[in-house]
Amino acid sequence: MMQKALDRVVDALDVETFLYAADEEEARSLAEQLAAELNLPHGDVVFLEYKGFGARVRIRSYIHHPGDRYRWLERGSSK
Amino acid sequence: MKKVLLAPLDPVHDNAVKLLKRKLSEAGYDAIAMRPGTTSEEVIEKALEERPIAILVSRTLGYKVAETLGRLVDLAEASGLREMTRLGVGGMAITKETGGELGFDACFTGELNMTEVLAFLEGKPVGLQTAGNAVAERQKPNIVQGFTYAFKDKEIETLLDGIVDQILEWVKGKTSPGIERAKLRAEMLAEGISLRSPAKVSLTQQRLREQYLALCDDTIRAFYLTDKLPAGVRWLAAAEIEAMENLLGSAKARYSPLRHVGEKPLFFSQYGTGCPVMDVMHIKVAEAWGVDGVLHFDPSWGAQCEGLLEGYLSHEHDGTILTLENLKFIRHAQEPATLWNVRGHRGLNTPETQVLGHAAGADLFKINIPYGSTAGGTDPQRLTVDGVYSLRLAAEYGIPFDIPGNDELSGVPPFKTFAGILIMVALGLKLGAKPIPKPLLCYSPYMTIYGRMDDNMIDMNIAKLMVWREIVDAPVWPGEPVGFMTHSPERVQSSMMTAVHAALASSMGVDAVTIASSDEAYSKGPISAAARVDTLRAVRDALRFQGSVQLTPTPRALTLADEIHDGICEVLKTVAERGDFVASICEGLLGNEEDGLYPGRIGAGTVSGGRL
Amino acid sequence: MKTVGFAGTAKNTGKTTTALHVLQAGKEAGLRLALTSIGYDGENRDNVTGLPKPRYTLQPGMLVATGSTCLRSSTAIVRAIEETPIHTIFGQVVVGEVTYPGTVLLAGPNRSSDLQHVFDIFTSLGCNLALVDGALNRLVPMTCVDGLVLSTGAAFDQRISHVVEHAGALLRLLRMPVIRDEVPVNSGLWVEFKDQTSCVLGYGSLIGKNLLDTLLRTLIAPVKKIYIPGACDPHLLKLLIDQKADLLRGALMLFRSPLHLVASGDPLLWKEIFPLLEATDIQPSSLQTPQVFFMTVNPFYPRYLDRNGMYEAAYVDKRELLAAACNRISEIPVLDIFQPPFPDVISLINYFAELPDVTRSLC
Repeated sequence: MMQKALDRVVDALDVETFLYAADEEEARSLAEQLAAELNLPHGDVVFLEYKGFGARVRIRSYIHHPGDRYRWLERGSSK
Repeated sequence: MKKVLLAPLDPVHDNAVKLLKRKLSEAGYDAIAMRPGTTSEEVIEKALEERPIAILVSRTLGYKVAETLGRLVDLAEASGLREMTRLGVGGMAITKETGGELGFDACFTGELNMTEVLAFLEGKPVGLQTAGNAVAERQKPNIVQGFTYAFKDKEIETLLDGIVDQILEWVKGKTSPGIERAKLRAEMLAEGISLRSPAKVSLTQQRLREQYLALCDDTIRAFYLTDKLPAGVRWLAAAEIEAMENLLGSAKARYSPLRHVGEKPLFFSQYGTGCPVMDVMHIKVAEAWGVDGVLHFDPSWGAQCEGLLEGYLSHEHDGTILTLENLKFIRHAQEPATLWNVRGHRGLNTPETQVLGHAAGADLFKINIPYGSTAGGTDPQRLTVDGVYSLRLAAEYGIPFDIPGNDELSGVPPFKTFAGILIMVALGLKLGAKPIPKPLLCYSPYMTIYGRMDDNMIDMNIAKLMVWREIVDAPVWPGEPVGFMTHSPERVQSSMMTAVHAALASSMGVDAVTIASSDEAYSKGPISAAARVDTLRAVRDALRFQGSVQLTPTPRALTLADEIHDGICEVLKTVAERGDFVASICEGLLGNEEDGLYPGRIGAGTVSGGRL
Repeated sequence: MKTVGFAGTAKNTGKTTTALHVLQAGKEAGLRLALTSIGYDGENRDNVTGLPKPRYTLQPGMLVATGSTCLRSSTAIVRAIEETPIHTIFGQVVVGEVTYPGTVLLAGPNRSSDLQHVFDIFTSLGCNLALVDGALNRLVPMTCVDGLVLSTGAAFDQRISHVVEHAGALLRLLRMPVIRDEVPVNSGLWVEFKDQTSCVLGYGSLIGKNLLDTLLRTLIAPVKKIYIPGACDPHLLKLLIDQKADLLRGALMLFRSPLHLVASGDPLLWKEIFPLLEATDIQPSSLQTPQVFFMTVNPFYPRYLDRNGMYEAAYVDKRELLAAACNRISEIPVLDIFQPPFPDVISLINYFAELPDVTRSLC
């Protein structure tokens, strides 16, 4: 069966963007909401800087944690 | 002289062709460059006249350009050129796939790589297949080569002599569970025995096992006696190890050093994700992006626990468990020329770590008694005894050891940290080992509290590097990593701070540099592979920007270097006068409570023998 | 073993789709099939336009010749049988047999001599039909195949009249008379004069002003036969005829293969040359030429979007395109793989000689 591209993410998946928001609190909550909307497991705001009308933000989700069973390893098993 | 025809096949741009012409001429080829706007027919006509060994086409790619390049290839075939002339294409937008689709013999993607171009001209296959060759031919660098270790500051040399003699006198006849386990481990390795061998138990194994377990903490004993794993640890399945080896078997990246000029500094990355398989992936990423070496980090609890585990073990938190199997697996995955450091500068397993590291193929150790026996570390008595034994092992194995100065992070001023490092330098030399001091380039609490870097971060860092050149002819390896406490979780900022520190160190002619990832300041999760790439890319470009330019110290940097130098002398005088190294640590002569430093307590009361 | 090359007049003219169609038909006919490429093929998306591309999906028992590194990126499992000495950007060319179905990345030999080597291996492995995926607008390596299937369409030009005009001219060129003639082996450009003397020029091609000048200086007596084994620029040939019409009148003008002429100039340019040759009583012929089994037309083209610099899929009127092509081309069948009629492509390829007159009636 064809592997999902997500299975090939070695460890973390970061989403970077600029969020229009009224204040830092809203920006943070929007960042968390964004992670949920994108179905990112355990999305964490790595970086958020709010200035005036919006925030530069980086959200991270670990697709594979060290110690997990990595789905990208399956390629090594099949060949 | 072999001829090479260079064709821009572009209406305007031919910069790549001009560059290539110069480089090929330097390499001894007769490079014939055609003008921009040359047609495919003109290229072939010229080739029929000149009979070059190769035609190299440089071109950016647009929709119809592909047809033009394809036509050139077909025309070359039609005119019978391909039997003796090979065709290569390159350009920023050209991909390997496009080159293949158009029927070229070689495709040069990304920035100009002369090694690849020359290999192609010499008739070797280019592309994925040559990737491994360059790596295999690369020699493993030797950081300590060429250094005399002669002291330029004779006063410091005399002071250190006295301190070292006192240390060696003090450790005489003393031992610890750590040293005894190291001896047992060495015996086990010599006998080919492991504590978990499922096969018939020999009398020797039985004896070694009993003796070893008697020297271990409960957690380790439980592992061997009842198969109980410490919290957060799991066995790695053979299939996982095998799958990773299979993955590596089919992938090899071309080594491309981070340095733009010269052979130094060597660049090191730290790893220790907890999982050896993930570590290997991170090491391969770091190697692919240009590191020369990697440093193994073990879990913090491993340093606080008497005894080491065995087998392929994965750990779900930071730090990868020190076992012979884990270490060998990690070493095996590295490129042969990659330098590998196994740290054991602190903790209760310092001597045994050197034994295992040596057995697994380590190139470098990491030992620092004053740093390891403060700030939540090991008891100073214990680490002094273990440290000296470890230095003897390093000397016996011929493995250099580096001495990190990370106690600065607690708030210790550089001159105190450096005095401690110097004691380790002298102690190592006395025992026949090769030390490598590691001054930390950082924005430490001492700097912020006393405003030493309020104007800039260059003068102090330059001073910290200069002072080493004034004192002793030894390699200097700023770490660990450079730019400590200047990083934020913002990846551009973080990568840039690492890059400027790396470039600064490089301009000062250091021998090696340990660099962070852009996740350095992110504490809520493990370092990601992508974060390693961020920093390595930034360092590469900073070094490209800087080239061989060297910085001239400002008057302020010179003053700061003098201050540090004087400070070191003062500290060493006090330690020498105190006449007791262990007491000097305990009493804060190398860093006191005000500096944020407290003597370590782990393993207190475990040293035996000699006069305590 | 029958060997068939698939060539397009441009990217995205549908040659892979056509080859897949033939592959499927060959499988249904129970043939032992083999596949290779003279370029690189097998990505999900076109590497210039970014638009989705058809993929080669192979079934167990099929043979394939491709670069060693491509095998690792294929989802099909291929048992390597023979490693050839042929190097490509994607590693050494390996001939293998598919043991587990899936997609295959193709990167085979890119020179005709190497292609012949791969054919020899396919033959030794009992292959009945070998398909060669053509590279972009590159035909010369196809010199050694038995026949070609051409693909053209709106990706070549969105003007239907231009597409069919070009296709007609291309076909006319490819169907140049073939004669068996004695020519010096590995010769350069060779001229035999009516007085039985002959001379050889170092270069086998007529390309570039200097080579034309050399040839002009050489032609000093009436010519019986002139052989141009390499490339031949149609503009230069026109100049040659203009200046030496009297000496060339009645001569036999021999080329290695019409594929060499396609590589040398646009078929529409060659179309203008033929009346000139006729008027001067020069007989153009070639030593060898692959048959053209049939042609496919494809209404698809990638439309460039100025607003974002990307491409989108677009189509010309498919019925109009097919009708216009059938109307213009009477010599061989013209099909649109996705439009009726759907003739048996294996019979078009295998039994061309016995083929009933399907050409015009198909439309």
